[in-house]
Amino acid sequence: MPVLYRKWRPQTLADVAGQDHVTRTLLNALQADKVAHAYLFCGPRGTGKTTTARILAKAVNCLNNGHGEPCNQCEVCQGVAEGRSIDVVEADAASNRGIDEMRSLRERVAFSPGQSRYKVYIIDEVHMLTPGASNALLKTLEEPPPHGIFLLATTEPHHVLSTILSRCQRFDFRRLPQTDIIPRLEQIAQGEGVSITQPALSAIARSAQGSLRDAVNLLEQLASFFLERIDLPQVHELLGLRGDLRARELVEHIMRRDLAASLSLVNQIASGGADIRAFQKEAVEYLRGLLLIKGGSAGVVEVTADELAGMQEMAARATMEEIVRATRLLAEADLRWEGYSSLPLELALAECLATDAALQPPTQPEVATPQAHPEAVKSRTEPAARLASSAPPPPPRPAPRPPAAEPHPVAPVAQLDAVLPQSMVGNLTLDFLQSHWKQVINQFRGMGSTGTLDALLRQACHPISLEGEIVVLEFNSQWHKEKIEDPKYRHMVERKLSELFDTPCQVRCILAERRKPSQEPMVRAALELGGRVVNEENHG
Amino acid sequence: MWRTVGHPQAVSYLERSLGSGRMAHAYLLVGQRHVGKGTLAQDTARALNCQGESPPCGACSACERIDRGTHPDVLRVGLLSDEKTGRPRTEISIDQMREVASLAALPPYEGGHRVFIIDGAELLSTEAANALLKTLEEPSPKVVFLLLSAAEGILLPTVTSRCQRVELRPLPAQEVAGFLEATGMDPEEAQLRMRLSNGSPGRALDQEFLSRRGEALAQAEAMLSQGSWDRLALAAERAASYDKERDAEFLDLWLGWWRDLLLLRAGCPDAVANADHAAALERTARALSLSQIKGAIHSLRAAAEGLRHHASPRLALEVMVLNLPHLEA
Repeated sequence: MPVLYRKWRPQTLADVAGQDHVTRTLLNALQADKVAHAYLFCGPRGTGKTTTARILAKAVNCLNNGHGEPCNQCEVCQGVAEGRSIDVVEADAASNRGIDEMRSLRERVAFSPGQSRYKVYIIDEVHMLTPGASNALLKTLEEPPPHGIFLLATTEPHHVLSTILSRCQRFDFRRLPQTDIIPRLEQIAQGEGVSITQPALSAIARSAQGSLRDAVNLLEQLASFFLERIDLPQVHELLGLRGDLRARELVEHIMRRDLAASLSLVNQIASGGADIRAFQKEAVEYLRGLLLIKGGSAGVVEVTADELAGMQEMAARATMEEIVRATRLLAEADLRWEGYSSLPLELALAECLATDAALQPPTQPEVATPQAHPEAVKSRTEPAARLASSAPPPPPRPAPRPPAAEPHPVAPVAQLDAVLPQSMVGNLTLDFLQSHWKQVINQFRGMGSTGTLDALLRQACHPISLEGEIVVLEFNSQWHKEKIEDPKYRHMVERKLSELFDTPCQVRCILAERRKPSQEPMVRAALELGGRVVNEENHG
Repeated sequence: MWRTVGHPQAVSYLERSLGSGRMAHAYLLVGQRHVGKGTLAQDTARALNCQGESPPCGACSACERIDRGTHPDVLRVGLLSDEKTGRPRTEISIDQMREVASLAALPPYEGGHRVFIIDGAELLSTEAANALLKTLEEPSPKVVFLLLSAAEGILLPTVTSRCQRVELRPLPAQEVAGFLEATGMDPEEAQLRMRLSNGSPGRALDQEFLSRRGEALAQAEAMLSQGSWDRLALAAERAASYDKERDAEFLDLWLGWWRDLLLLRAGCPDAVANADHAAALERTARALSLSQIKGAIHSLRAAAEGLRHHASPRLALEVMVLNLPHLEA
């Protein structure tokens, strides 16, 4: 007994679901007797390409009609359906992909058809033809004998030679919307004597992602497994969804920042033989619900009222940032490649919840960031102390800033330009310079002989101390230091800084001392193996 | 009698399909390595050809010949070995599929079913997979394809959509332990193997597995206090005798070890897989910071990912060993 997708393969153009733009055009062409000599059907799997090609082959040759739908009764129609017609040849381009096969096909086209009006060649999987074979087909495809029709079908039109594409009438088959899949499934279920509920049907249609064959396959599995009665829980069981409370439990652990509990939950699930990927999907879905609630659109979350209340309560306890972070990390855990290992999920949880500080005092000092080497820290504090004793007290510090150096890392420059200059006035403190150095640099855009002074400064230096009105800039390389020390540029920088902060400024340039070799493992290994540091650049 | 361990859903699905005459012509059995895909395929092949009372009986001549691999209608297709080097090839070739297609056009010799078991469907070359499509969609009657795959994600969607998909999930840990104890294994060893098997009974049964694991773990632990020279030497040695499958398992074992460290560091000792090394693991975990452990797991996974995508083994392994944290001995 053939599988359902073969048994229920449509036999007329009207039966082909969800491709009206194709079937209507073909029917019109048939009625007007204007069938072209070469068609290319392309589209994703299971959308009806081969089916349509076979129907068309019958339609043009049908003895009873010949100007519309095939009758499926006459000798010729049945011959095609059973694959024994000598005039309709279905070739598999993927296994006969060489030039020799195409040559012999080309030779055979020349002979008149035996019993029908047209000789129809259905060439399936045409993207797999070798370039030689494709080229050998070109002349025939452009001008076949009057009795020849070529129907090419492929899932990957971008792999087909453009010279082939331009010789065919191309029809693109679309993924089927659920509204087209469901009635067809209903029809098949009825024909097979299977009773299935509407929610189950729409769950099948949703998971088939627009491929009717995939949908029919799922229906077939359900029919063999659960026999006559199919409802939503059965579909979920087959698809590996459980809909239990453990996803919710995991999210709860995450929100309480309890790493140990969430890890042990994931392990229970994995060792209990459940589908870890489906579990991940459910947890992400739950987090998405929280996200929606937190964002103020609780109405679109599709859960029962009880569940919604629980979710709202949980959302109220967490901050938006926490939810977003958890959602992102969990959704990004890629479980596809490592079989059923739960490691990616565990790693995401560790990433999301654990910092060493939060667990126990770390036994090893964290790797220092390159900017924070000891000299810089020292010079940052010393002049400030000196300043306090000699100079008038510095203007009151601006209100505490958000931890990030740049509050709007993606904000366009124009916006920063508009906002910042006012806030810089009277703000000449080391703290401000260091935390807003990028924005300060942006003000130099368009200066210098080539208008790129900002670029030069951005890469080359950063402020490390402030001695009265002297801004001390530390350079990484001698070349850059000399460039800025050149009076022409130095005056330019000093003028601009004075203008920005509305107070006289001077600039002194110093060269950075050789830093301690980086803690980066690769660099360390290179040094250990006899390498030497020639240049340091900070990418970050 | 079905010999497949566990997977009651999959077995009863196939059994019912057979019983009700709803047998499809193509099945895709997916699941991690050693989870039982091969056994289930063998069982299905026997059930389709069995001459006894309750298929698969396991006693009739057809069943016996299928077990021995001499039944003319049951064909296993896998990687061939290269004629020149003797090493296994990396892909299943289009010629093999052409042969399958031409055999599939013939009726079965013995009147049962012609069964093609394609072991490692993800190994089909692009050309081979495409060459199979037409046959896979509409084979002659009495032909059944069983495609087995541990990496469903890289199969052509056109292939998967032509098959009935049967998923073999990892077995629940208790089922693995029960099965091991039923074979007469010492309960303590059964518990350990259960933890390490990750739900694959085949892996739990592998006799050599424990010794391979011991070796890998010893190396993982030693590496922490080794300098770059020793690390590079190990990478070079492994790269020189690189074998895709063996080294993938090796990385997997290392990942397991680091995963245990992560679990211990995070305060979740119950789930540790290498339970027999608990004391040493505990010591190491205390000496490392969580970010070091996370970093190590990231670099191991990056190396495994690279090797899956045909990166140069030496380069991938060298980068990996240099990125692992250092501990003073």
